[in-house]
Amino acid sequence: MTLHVVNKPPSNLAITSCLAVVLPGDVVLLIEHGVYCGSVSVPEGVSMYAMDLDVHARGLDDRIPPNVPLIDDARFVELACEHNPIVTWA
Amino acid sequence: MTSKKILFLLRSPPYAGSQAYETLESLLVTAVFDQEVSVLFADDGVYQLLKEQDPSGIGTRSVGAGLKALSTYDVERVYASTASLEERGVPLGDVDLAVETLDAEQISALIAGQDAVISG
Repeated sequence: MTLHVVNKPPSNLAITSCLAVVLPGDVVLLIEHGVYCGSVSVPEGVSMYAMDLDVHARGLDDRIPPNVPLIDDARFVELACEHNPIVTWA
Repeated sequence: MTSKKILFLLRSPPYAGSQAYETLESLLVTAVFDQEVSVLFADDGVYQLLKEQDPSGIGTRSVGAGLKALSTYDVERVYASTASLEERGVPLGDVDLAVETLDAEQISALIAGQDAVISG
């Protein structure tokens, strides 16, 4: 299963292009400006997470829906180890 | 050395800084080391496939000309997103490069089959 990392805001096509090709079981991780994509709807079977520090930094805590858990660096590392390949939609 | 499947996901337009050219260079180096390299042009990356590129006036090297090196380096898995080409009106057959178009489902399968994906 693939880990998709998105670090661009919705104005970039990164999240759109990513969600067009995700497969059930894949994980989408929002980091940096990618956390502005927190309210997009994700296909069934796909999990989405957001980096807590990037969310807090931008004052988005109340805007990230409950189905998008916030994760820390340690969990990011775990996700990177659990998935292959890793696609950064930079 | 074990060969790995490595996909270069090219989403940057040419001449947005040197990103497109530098990614192309790293792609060619990877190919030299006998890895199973494939290339996917998507989003604004499909603009790299326009034929009449002449960046001499903006003082930079031609990305389009650089792409001609792909076949020399035996990079034969060259793909482009059908949707990205259509949305931007970029025709295929414009470049001297055999490019296969892929829909979203085919792109999903391509990514899932890789050992590593490098974006540029």
